[in-house]
Amino acid sequence: MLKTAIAVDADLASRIAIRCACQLGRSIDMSVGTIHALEPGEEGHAIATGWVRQTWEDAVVRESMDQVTRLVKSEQAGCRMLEPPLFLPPENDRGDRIARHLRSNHCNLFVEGFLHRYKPDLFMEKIGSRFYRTLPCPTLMAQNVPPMSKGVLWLSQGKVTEKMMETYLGIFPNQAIELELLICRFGKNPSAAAKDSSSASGVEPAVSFFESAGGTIKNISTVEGSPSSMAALVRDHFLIVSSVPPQNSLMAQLLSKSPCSLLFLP
Amino acid sequence: MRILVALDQDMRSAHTLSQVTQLLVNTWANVTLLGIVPRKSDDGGVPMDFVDTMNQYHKAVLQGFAAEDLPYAPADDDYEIAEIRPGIYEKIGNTHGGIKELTVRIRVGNPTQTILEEAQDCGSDLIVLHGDMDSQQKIATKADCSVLIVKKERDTGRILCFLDDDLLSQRSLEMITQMAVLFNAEIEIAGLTDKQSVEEKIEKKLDWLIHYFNGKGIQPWIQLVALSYLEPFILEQDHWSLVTMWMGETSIFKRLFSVNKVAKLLESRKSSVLLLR
Repeated sequence: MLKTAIAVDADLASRIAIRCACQLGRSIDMSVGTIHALEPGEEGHAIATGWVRQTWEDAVVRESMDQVTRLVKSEQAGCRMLEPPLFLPPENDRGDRIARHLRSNHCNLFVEGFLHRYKPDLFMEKIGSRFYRTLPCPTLMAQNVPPMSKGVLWLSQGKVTEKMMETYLGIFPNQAIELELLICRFGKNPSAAAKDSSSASGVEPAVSFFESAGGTIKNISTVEGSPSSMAALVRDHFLIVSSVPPQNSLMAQLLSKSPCSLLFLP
Repeated sequence: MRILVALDQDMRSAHTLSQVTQLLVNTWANVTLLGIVPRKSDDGGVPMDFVDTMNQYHKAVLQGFAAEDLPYAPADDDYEIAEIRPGIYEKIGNTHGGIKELTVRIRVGNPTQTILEEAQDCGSDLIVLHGDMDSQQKIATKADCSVLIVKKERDTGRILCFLDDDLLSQRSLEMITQMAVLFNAEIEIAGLTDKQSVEEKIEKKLDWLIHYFNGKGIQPWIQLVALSYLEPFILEQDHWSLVTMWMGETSIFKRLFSVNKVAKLLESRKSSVLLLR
């Protein structure tokens, strides 16, 4: 069984993360836990000292916990498998705290919500964070919840490792979702359309591995151009799969243009 | 609901009418087909070829319905065009048998003025016109009701709805739902933000809208666009069938339209535009 943890705050992005995970949970054997990492900021600015300050801080934290609990409860109506939230104590780096939790609990998938933005700054900041640079497990950045029938698009710049395919198959062992592979060659001269590349050398070993595990890749193609010229290709899928690209790289720019949920593999 | 469809002899009018007919099949709205001619014919009446065109438009709408579902009076070959008020002509024929009104009118004069006058006269909730009409910008800006500017057909079925912190009316949401059915399209909502407080408001609204559209069996895509990036956002992306904007009293677009900034931006776009009021 896939062990999943969703980071939940009292906001819309978290609702999207929950709905996205629960949608997966309807076709994949998985547990869906929720965690909320209390932020040091949630203790607020000191308004006094001694017991007054302590009482006020406790109230702020309690309020935050109540909001998260209410949000999870409200989503449980549509997702019975959703577990009540686990609260992680505050720490300076939220990502470190979550990463430790994921490792110590042997989670196979981490899900967090992120509202897709036209301006990519926050996305770049996120994928440049220590958490994303050292992913403890596959991480789903949930941005929208389109139907699973829209399939999965795997983005690569030419090389797909067997380890990544193995990790992917660990999440989708029963081929519940159709998979396409798109090899992106970034350059100035965009080609008119994606070309068939089923025999591309960089991906052959991984594809063979995938097929030997009983999987099929619906389509393998290559596209050349700038991130902007490729944007239309990453707009209409259930999931986009990729490794975490370097911050501000061309692949990161392309991913920032996708409103689909993004599955990052370590 | 009453829909006013502004028509001329341009090929685009036929395409616009075919889109509206699908909308009428879904809504059974009262409808006025308004033909506009700039001036009277030499004999002081309406040019006969234009009358014929309007008659064809009338028949085309009726043919869009299955006979047993027709909410309007059937077409009558025995009709006349009567001048009901100076410069305003109406097709007079069989008006029996319809549970909804379908009026065919021709007005002589300046398109902007005649369309806006007719919209007021008939109390229209929605004006529909094609994107090559010279008057589209002025009508979009000055109309009191919603305006749909139909451009050429697009391959990708996605409707973009801009969302700001203005009030949303139930009627406008229903209209968007109808458009999603009409264009067989998915809905993409772009929440416009410029500061943290607005972003929180927009998030709550987005949450409510997701819930609303889910209830209609529609799963919308959502994204946030900083207001300062609105212009490049519109310019860079041209893949929508339809762009909709709420034009309430306090809406961002109402303010922007006053300087025609967004109007000019959208003029060059290939997407159809729906302004909701």
